[in-house]
Amino acid sequence: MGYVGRPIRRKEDPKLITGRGRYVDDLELPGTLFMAIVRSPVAHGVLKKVDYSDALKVPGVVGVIAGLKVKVDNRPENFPMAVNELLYVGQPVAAVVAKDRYSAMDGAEAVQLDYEELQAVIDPEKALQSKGVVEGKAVAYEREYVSGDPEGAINSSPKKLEMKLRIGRVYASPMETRGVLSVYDGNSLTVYASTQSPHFMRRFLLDAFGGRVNNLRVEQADTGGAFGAKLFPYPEDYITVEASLRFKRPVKWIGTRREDFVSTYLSRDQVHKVRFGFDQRGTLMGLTDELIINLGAASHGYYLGDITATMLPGPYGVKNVRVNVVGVHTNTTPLDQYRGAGRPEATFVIERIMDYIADEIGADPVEVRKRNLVRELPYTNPFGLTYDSGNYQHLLERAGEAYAELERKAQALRTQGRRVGVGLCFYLEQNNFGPWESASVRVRGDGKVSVIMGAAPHGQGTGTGVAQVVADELGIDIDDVEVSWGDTSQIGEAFGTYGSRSLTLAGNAALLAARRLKDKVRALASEIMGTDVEELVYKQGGVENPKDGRRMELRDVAKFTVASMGGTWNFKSDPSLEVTEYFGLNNYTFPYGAHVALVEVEDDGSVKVLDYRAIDDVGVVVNPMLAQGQVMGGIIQGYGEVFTEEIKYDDQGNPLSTDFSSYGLPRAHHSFRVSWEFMEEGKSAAPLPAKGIGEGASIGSLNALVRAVERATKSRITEVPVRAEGLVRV
Amino acid sequence: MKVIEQEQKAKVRYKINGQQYETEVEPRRLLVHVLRELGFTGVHIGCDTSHCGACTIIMDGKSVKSCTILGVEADGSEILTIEGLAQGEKLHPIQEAFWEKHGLQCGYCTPGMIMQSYWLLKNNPNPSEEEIKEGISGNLCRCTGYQNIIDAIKLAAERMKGQ
Repeated sequence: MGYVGRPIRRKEDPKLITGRGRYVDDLELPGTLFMAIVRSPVAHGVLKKVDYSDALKVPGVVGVIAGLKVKVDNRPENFPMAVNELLYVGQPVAAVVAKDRYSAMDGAEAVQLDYEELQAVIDPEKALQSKGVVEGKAVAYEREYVSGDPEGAINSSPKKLEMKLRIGRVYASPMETRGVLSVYDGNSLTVYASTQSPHFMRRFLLDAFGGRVNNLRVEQADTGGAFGAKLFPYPEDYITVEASLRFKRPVKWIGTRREDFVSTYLSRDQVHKVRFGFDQRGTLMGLTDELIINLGAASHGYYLGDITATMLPGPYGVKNVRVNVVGVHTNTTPLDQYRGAGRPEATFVIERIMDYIADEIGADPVEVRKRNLVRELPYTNPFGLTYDSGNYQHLLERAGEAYAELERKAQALRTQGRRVGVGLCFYLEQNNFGPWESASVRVRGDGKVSVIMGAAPHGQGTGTGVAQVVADELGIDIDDVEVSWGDTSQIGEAFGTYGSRSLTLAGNAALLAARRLKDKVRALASEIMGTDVEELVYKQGGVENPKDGRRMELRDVAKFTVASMGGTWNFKSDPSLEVTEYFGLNNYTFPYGAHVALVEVEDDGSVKVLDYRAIDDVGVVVNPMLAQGQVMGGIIQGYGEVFTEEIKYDDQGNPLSTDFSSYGLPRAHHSFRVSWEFMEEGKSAAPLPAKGIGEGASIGSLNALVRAVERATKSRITEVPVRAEGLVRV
Repeated sequence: MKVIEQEQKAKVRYKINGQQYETEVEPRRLLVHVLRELGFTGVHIGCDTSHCGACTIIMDGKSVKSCTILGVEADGSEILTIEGLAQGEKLHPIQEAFWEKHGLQCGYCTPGMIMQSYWLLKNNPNPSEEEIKEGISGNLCRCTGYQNIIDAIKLAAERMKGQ
């Protein structure tokens, strides 16, 4: 029996449950110095002077760095440190390096900043009317997407609606904060990091430091969650490396949680002014959206506006669409991706529209969606994305049954006077952001198989999934397959883990490498056995000749290659039992699914989820236990985004959410049971036809929960988070 | 009362996972840092405000967040960390259950979560689902959504019966 499709327990776990994980703060080399960052205390200002003379007198302080400048795309001039303009609270201004973290902190407290405060702009809509928010600019990005004749289609529609929707700003909140350990030996630089992409990190660090080091290796430490927030270049990455080059000692920086709150890229934060027209039967005819995305004090999050815009039509057939994306600067922590990355925002908007159409024409929300759903695949959406495969109608029918079932439950509860409601969300997700990923499959001399992949998982369990795939392909015991990742010296190039891509891309690379490896094994074995290679077949962990029944195990072939030291190699086949493959797909994959929630809104406005159903079609599910883990975790994150989490600022730009009391991460008592089912109708075009499930639940959960609350309270909800204050029974 | 000057270090003794340790610590140093420097890096730091529970250990029989205690305060105490839970190669039933029920993803909250579960089951060997939620509500997990953790604790409770 194969491993693919079974809930195999994780190979990653033994070290993590015994305290033997090695996260970046657990790593230390002799002589390691600790770095503390001095950050801007104001949201906007002219920086006049950084006086660190007192810091140098603090016992244990080795040195201070100020005024460091590195040119990085889509980052401000004042990067990685403020040099003349303070752009947001939390922006690095100086770094103090000391013998340990306590003295580094002492030193940081002794650094004096001389600055003149400037007017800060915090509200993205006000930013549109402002000048000089960040280095003289207010608008950072503009792009218009148009297809068909949206205005004409809306104007000629029998019914029209306009509304403004808002998606609040959130913090990814991995339980491990960001951290870096940089080690320079006078020649080579090795950087250990809490990251989603060591190879990408190597490339962006080489851009900055390539002229000063001869070799650069990045090693991903065990990484305590990321959710998109540990992917792109951060100021502290450059500052830590600079410190290790300057002081010629290993330098470690580990963000405190308060630092992480103000320095880790935040996400979502979009305003949508939509106008749409539809007919009496609920068919969406035309849609326009003025999309404002609050990029904060850098512009690198602009692409999230593009993803949102191009996915705005979702799984529906509307042809006439215009989205005008405007990315504005504010004096806040820069914006970038968080689990879902643009697709939760797009889905929230289009699903709100479907619900409003249903309400306006008094129709069932499932029926309205059915009417609009794309029926034939592949289908190219108004902005050129080609939806690949699946059966949206079938999944929606299944979701409709769940919806009807929960509606019946809700009816019964309503008769008892309880405020309950059911919400549905159908989602379509764009995955497989590439362009490709790498994997190497190697049979070691002892016959054990080692897989090295370019993907860099950090909790998803991809190592186990890939081991299942390779063990099946080679017909060997999964315990004989070891999967590793995260070290740029182990595999040439790679991208990492983000965008629900790892199993699809690295999984397929590993699968193809294992396939080619079997040919190598056959070729070498045929010479050892003295048979024609065409007569040999690879079967269950070995090669055999069906004619004479002779068989050689994979491990015996491997052992043969290393059996003796010295002598000569007298075979035509080379002795290597290693194959590396780089795998890319020429289209995105588009998983889809539906979430249905039954909630009760208590008199005090708190929301209890009474029943929750999630149905996904992500192609082949390699490990249903891991997939379900992604779904359950994503749903609670969605719950947090809808009810408990939001990054807020006061009018001066002071962050009001800087710890886990002022920022409400869901706790165990918020959790609820999720019942999950999956279909495998929409397979990807890859040899391993999986599509990815890392983000689906954080996309599908928003509207399901919001709609359920809306129905329970007979209100109209146009923004997340939904505040309990607004739901109190009056 | 013993007075220690700021720059001065104090001698402290702990019994950690059954073994005696003696070290010198600055009075302001947090127990979590002291433990980590002694090599118990399974004790994690997830916040700086005692909200997350990643640093949870058992000290003199009670579950504590080791970031809220000074190293000097813990002088003379008996400490159990995640590293001391398994008996040699044999995992503790709670560890087994977390593994089996997929009660962890990134693993960062896991040591604290397991230690808190250990204390919970010591005090309430047969907790209800609500009692489990209440019992671990001081420990944050961002990955799992808690359901598998709750199931793991239930399974461990089941297996620990009669032990």
